[in-house]
Amino acid sequence: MISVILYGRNDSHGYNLHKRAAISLNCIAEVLTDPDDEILFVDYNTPNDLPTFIEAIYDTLTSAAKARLRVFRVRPELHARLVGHTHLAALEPHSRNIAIRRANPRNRWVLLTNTDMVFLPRAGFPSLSAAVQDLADGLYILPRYELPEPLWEAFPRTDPQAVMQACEDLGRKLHLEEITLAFPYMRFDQPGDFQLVPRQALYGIHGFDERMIHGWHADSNMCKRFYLFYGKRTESLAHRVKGYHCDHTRVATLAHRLDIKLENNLNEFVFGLEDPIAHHQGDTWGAPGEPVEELDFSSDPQARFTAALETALGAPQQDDYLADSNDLRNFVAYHAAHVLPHLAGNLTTYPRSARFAYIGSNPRMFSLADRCIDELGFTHPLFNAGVTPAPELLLADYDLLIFDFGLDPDALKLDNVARVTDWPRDLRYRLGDVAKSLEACALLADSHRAHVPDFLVINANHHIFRQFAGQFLLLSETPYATHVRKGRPRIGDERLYRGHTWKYVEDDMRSFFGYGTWENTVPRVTLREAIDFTSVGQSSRYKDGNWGAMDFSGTWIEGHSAAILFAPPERADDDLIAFIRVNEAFIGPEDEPIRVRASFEGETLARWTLFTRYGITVCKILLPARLIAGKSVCRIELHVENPQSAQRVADALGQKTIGHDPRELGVKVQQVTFTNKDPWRYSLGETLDFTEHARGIDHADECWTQPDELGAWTIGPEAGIIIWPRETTAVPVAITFTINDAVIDPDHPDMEAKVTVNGQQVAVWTNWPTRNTHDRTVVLPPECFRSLDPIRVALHVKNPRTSFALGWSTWDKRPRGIRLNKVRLAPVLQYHLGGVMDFTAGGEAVAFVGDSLGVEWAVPDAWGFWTIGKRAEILVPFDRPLTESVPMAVVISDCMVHGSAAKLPVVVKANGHTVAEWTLDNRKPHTRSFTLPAEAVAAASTLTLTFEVSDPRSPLSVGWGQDPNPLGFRLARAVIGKKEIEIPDFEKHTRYRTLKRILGLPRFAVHVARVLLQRYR
Amino acid sequence: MPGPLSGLRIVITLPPHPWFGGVDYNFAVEMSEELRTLGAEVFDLDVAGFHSGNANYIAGAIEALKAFRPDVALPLPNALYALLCVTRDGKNVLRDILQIPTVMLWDHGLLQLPRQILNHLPMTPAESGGDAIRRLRQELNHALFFHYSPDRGHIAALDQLGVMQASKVEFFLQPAYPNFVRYGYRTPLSNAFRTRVAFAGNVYLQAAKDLPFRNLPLLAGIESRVLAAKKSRLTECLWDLIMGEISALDKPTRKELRLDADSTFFWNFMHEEIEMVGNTDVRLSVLTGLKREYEFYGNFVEPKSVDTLRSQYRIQFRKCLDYFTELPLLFMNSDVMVDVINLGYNTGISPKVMGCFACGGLVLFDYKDDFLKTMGDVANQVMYRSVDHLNTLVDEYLTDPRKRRDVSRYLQHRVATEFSFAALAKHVLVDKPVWKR
Repeated sequence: MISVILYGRNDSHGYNLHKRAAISLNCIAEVLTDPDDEILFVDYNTPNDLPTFIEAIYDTLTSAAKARLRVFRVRPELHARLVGHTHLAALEPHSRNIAIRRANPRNRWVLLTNTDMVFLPRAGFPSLSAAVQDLADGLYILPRYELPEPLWEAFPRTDPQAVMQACEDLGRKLHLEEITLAFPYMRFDQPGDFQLVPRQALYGIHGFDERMIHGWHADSNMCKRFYLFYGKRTESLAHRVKGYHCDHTRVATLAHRLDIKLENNLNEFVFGLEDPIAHHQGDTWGAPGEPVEELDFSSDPQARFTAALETALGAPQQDDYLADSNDLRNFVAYHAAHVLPHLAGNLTTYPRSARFAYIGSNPRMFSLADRCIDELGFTHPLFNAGVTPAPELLLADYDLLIFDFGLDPDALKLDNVARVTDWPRDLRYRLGDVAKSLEACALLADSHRAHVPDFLVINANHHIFRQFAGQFLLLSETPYATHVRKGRPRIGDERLYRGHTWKYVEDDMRSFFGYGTWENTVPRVTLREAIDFTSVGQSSRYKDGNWGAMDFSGTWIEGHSAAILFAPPERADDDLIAFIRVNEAFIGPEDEPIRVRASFEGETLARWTLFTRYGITVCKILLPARLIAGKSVCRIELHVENPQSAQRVADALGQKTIGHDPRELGVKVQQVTFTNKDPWRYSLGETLDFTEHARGIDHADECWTQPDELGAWTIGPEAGIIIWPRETTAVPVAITFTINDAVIDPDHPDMEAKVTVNGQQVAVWTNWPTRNTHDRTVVLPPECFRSLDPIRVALHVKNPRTSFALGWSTWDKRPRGIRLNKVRLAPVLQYHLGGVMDFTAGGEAVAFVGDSLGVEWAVPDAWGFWTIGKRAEILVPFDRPLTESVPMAVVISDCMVHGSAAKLPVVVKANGHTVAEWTLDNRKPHTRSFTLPAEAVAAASTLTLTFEVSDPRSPLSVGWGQDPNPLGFRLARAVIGKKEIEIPDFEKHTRYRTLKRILGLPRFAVHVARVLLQRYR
Repeated sequence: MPGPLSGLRIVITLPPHPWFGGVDYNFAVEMSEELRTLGAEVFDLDVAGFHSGNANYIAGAIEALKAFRPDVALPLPNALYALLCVTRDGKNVLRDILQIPTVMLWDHGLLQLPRQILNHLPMTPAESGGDAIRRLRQELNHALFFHYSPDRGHIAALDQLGVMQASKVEFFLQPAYPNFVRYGYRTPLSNAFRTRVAFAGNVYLQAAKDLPFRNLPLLAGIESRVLAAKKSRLTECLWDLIMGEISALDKPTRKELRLDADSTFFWNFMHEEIEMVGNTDVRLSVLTGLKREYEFYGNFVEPKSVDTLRSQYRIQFRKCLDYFTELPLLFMNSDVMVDVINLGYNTGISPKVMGCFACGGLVLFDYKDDFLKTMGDVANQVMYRSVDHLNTLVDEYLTDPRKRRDVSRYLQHRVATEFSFAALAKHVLVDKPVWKR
C-alpha cells in the first residue's frame, strides 16, 4: 500500500538524532499494516568509514521496523558524481528520488516524510495503511504538531505504542495541537513532513527536481508541482491522521542559521513555477542506472562480523595477550589473532564488492585476514601484494590497501627479543619494503586523485612506524591495543616537508629496516672503495645483526653482535684487510674502554680496545685468503663484549630521559674499506710517517689517537704496529722510533715503556729526560725479516696517563703514553774492520747499543753518549768474524771527574775478557786504545764490549746540572783494527752556538728597546 | 608556465638536522622546495657530510656537483653554512673547487660569521688569539661571494671595523619563510593555541649564567651598564652600547681585556654578551613589564630553564611549538604576539616577525629602523619604543579588533607579496642578479 521514504546521514544532525529517529521509525512501522508496506531509508553520503545511520541505531529499532526497513547506501563517490558542487552533505531531492525509483511497485502510495515524525491515525482508522486505502489520487498533506524537546526526549524509543499513546494523551493536555496554515498549494506549513502521493504521479512528474542543491523548499516545490499536476488542488489528510514532529532546534544546525542560510531560489522553484514536470531529468532522476547498495541486515559484513571472526580465528585465546605500548625493542611483533577483530572492524562498512590488498610480510596475519574477509561475505578475496607491488596497480584496482608493519612472532625462535635487530635481516628489511610501498602509493595518490583507496596500517601505533606513517598518511590515532589505524594519503597542502623529524625517522627506518634502495643481495666489494655507513651512504645490504641507529656520522652497533656481509672481489687470491673506521665508542660511566672481538667466517682474528668516545679510530682485521676462497658471501662478525647502557650513561650525566632507554651501545662505525695487504707492506729503509696526512697510521692498530700534524699517541697499555716485509734480509734489522712527546711532567717524570716484537720483549725504556723529539732504536729479534711473515711491534706503556690527569685538558680522559712521529726499520749496521763507529747524535753506530739506550747509555748528543750506571754494553756485529787479535781505539769526549772525585776507574771487557783498565782524569776529548785478544774475539760474529764504571756520578751530585742519573764517561767514536782514531771537531758545535747568539743580538736589542719603551710610555 | 627561476641550477646547503633543534634544517628544506616550485633545478648539499669529515660523501658530492653544473650557490637557510662546506684540506667546495658565485644571505651575520670563520671561542681574554680582522677579510672579501645582510647596522659595523666595505653588502629585509606564507592562505583551526597575548621565542638563562667572562669585574661592569642602558632605551642596539663602553676604556685596559676587533675574544664576547645575556635579560625585562597576562611558548634551546621561568619570573610557560604545524597556528590565533627582536640584530628584524605577519598574525616588537624604512608608516603601528608604549599598543589591539584586523591584513598582504622568500629569491637571483657580474 505505502512506501514510506526517508533519508538521512550518519552525522548527528541536530541534537539527539539517534533517539528521535528511532522513535519515528518505530512509530511509523507501528501504523503500517499492509503486507507490502515498506520503509525506505536512503543513507546519503555517510563517510565510507562509518556504518549507515540505520546500522548505527539498529539495536533500538523494533522488530516491526526492522521487518519493513529497506536501506539504500549512497556513498560519497556517487554523491560527488550525481551532484557536483554543493555546500550540503545530504540532498533531499536526490535521496528521495533514489528511493522512489526503487520502491515496491505494488504500492500505490508513497509517503515522503522525515525521521522525526510520529503519525497517529484518528479514530476509525486502525492504521495509516487503512487510512489511505480508499483515497482518490492527489497530494495529501498533514499539519504538523510540534513536540517540545523535553517531551520526546522522555519517550521510550523502543516502545512505539507508549510513544503514540503519550502523543495522544498529551497533545491536547499540553495545548500542542496548532494547525499552521500556509499557501493554498501547500495547505500547511512544513509540508515536507507528510506528503502522500501516488507513486505513479511521482513518475509522471519525474520526481524531485534534482537541480535543487542549495537546500530548503524541495517540499514546497513538490506541493506546487502536484498542485498544478492535480488541477490546482492540494488535499489535507488531517481528518484521518495526526502528525507530531519531534522538534530539534536546541542546537542550530547549519540549515537553521539565518545569517549564513543558503537556499534554493523560491521564484524559480516555487513562486514562478508553471510546469509540474521536470522534463530536464526525465531519464536520469533517481539515478536509475546506478547500482545503489541495498543493505542486507542478515548477511552483510556487519551482520556476519562476529561469526566471521570466530570462524577465522578458530580456537579461543588461552591466556591474556601481553603488549607494551612503550616497546622500543621488539616493536615489530604483535598478536595477529588479536589484531584481526580490529582490522575486520574497519572492513564492514565497505560494499561487498570491495577489493582489498595486503602489503606485508606476516603470513599469519594475511591468512587470518583472508579467511575473515571471505567469511564476511566480500566477493573478492584479499589480494596478497607482497612487499614490492606496483603502486599504480594498487591505486587503480583496490578500495583499501592494508600495510602491515609487523612480523609473525612465530617466525623468530627466540625466547627473549632484546632488540629489534634480533630479528633476521631478511624479515626486517621486508618491512622497509612495506614502508617504501606505502610511500610510493601515498605519493602517487597525490597525482591520481580521481580514485584514492583508503589506507590501513597495522602496527603503526607507536615509535618509528607511527611517525613514518604519519609523514604520508592522515590517520586516526587509535588505542595501542587495536594495532590498526585507518586513513588516507596526504595530498596537496596536507603533504609534509621532509623536515628534521622526518630525517630522524628516515635514518632509523634505513638502519633497522633497510628502507630505501634495498635489494636482498650482498654486494661485491671493490678494493680501496669505502663503504659508507653514515646516513648519506647505502650500507643496508652490507649489514646484518645488531646494527642500531644511523646518522650522518655513522651507524651504532647496538647490542652484542653486528656483522658486515660482503661478496669478495672476483679475483681474491690473497689476504684482504678490512679497515673499519670507528668514530665513536660509547664509553660507560666507569670510563671502561669498549672491547670488540672481530671474527671472520667464524674464526676470531682480532681483538680491539677502543678508548676514545669521540674521535676516529681505524680498526683493522686481516682476512686470510684461505677463509675467502670459494665463498660467495663472507661475514665479518663484530662482537662487542661490553656494550654500555644508554640509560646508565644518561643517569650518570644527570640527563633526564622519558621512560627507559633500552639501548646498549658499543661503537659507531663510519666506513669500511677493503684492501689487499699493500697498506701493511713495508720495504726496509722506508719511513712510516704517523702524522695526519701520511700513511703510517695504516700500520697501527686501534690503540692510537687520530694522527695530527705532530703524530699519533699510544692509547692504553699496548699499542701495536703491523708490518708485512716486502723482502727478506739475513742482516739483523733495527727499528728506530722518532718520539716527540710523552705523558711526563715535573710531577710525573717517570714512565716505563716496553717494546715487544711478535710478543718478544726487545727493549725497556725507563729514562724519559725530555718531551722533545728524539729517536730510540731497537734491534729486532733475529728471525724478523728472515721471512715474509708479518711483524707486530708493540709499545707497552706501564702507566698511561690522561691529559685530564696531567692538567693538559679539561675533558680528555684517554690513557696516553708516547707520541710517535716516525718509524723506520733498517738493517743493523754491520761493522767492517777499520770503520769508524760514530756514537754522536744521528750516528749509525748508536744502533749497536740496542735496547740499552736510555738504560745503560744516555740519549746521544753532538759529543756522543754517556754511560749510565755501573755497566754499559755495546754489541758490535761483524760483517766477517775476526780471526786474530786486533787493536781498538776509542774517543772519550768527557768524563765525570771533578774536584774531590778527580779520577774515574773504568774496566773494559771484550766478550767477557778484560781488555783494558782505565783511570779517567781528564775531561778534555782524548783517545784511548787497547787490544782485543784473539781468545776473546776469534771466530765470534759479534763483539760485546762492556764498560764497567765502579763509581758513576750524577751531574746533580757534582753541581753541573739537575740530571740525577749516575754517569761515567761520554763515548764519541770507536774503531777496531786500528790503534789510532781521529778526535772530531767538537768545537764546531760550540762555534755554531756562539754564532747564533751573535746573530740574535740585534733581535735582543729590539726586545730591550720595546721593554724600555713600554716602561716609559 | 615556467617559473621565474626556470633554467637556473642552484646549489643549496642543508644543515645537519640535529642542529639548533632542527629549525635551520627545516628552514633550508622548505626554502629549497620553494626554489624548486619557482622553477629552479636544485642540488641539496648536505653540510653534515662535511661536518663529520665523511670523505666518501665529500668526494661524491663534488663529483655530482660538477656533473650538475650549478650556476650559483645559495647557502640555506643562511650564509653561515657556505663556510662549513670545506674539504679536509681546507678548500671551500663552492668557492675554491666549483668556483661558482655564492649568494650569501646573512642572518645575524655580524655575530655569526666571525665566530664561524675564526673558529676560536675564547672564554677569557687570556685565551684570545689575534689576527682576526685579516682572517675575516680574507674569508669574506672573496670575489665569488655576494653578500646580503638583513641589517644595515651590521653592514655599517663591519665597515667601521675594517672587515668589509659597506658597498660590498646589499641590504634585504628578512623574508617570511614559505611555511608561514602558505598558512596565510589557509583557514586555521580556530581554537588551536588560542591566546590573547603570547610570546614565542627563546631565553638562555643557563647559558648566560655559565659564561666565564662574566666573572671578570671589568667585563661585568660593562655588561651591567649596557643592559641598564638598553632596558631604559629599547630603541638603541646592544652592539652600539657595548662598543660605546669599549671605546670609553683606556687603551691598556682595552688591550688587556682583548676588546679590539683583531682579537678572537672580542668576537666571542660580543656574541655571547648579545645573544645569550642580552637576549635573556632584555626579553625577560620587557615580558615581565607587560601589564596584560601573556603566555610563553618556545624555549626549545633550554627546556630545563622552564622551571626557573615559572618560579622566578612567574611566566606562564606553555610548550615548545612545532615550527611547521603549530607556530603558525599560534600566530594566527593570538590576538597579539609580543616580541623582542633577537638582540643580534642591530637595526633589522628576524624572519619570525615576517612569518607572523605572513600568516595573518599581529606581532608587536621593539623599534627597528630597517623595518620602518622599508615598510613605511605602517611600521609604527607594530613597533614599540618602550615598555609603556608596548602596554598601550597591546591594550589598543585587544580592545579594537577591527584595527588589529586592518593592520594585520595590510601587513600580511605586503609581506606575502613583497617580502616572501620567493620574492627575495627572485630578486637576488633573477631581477637583480649581482652574482652574474
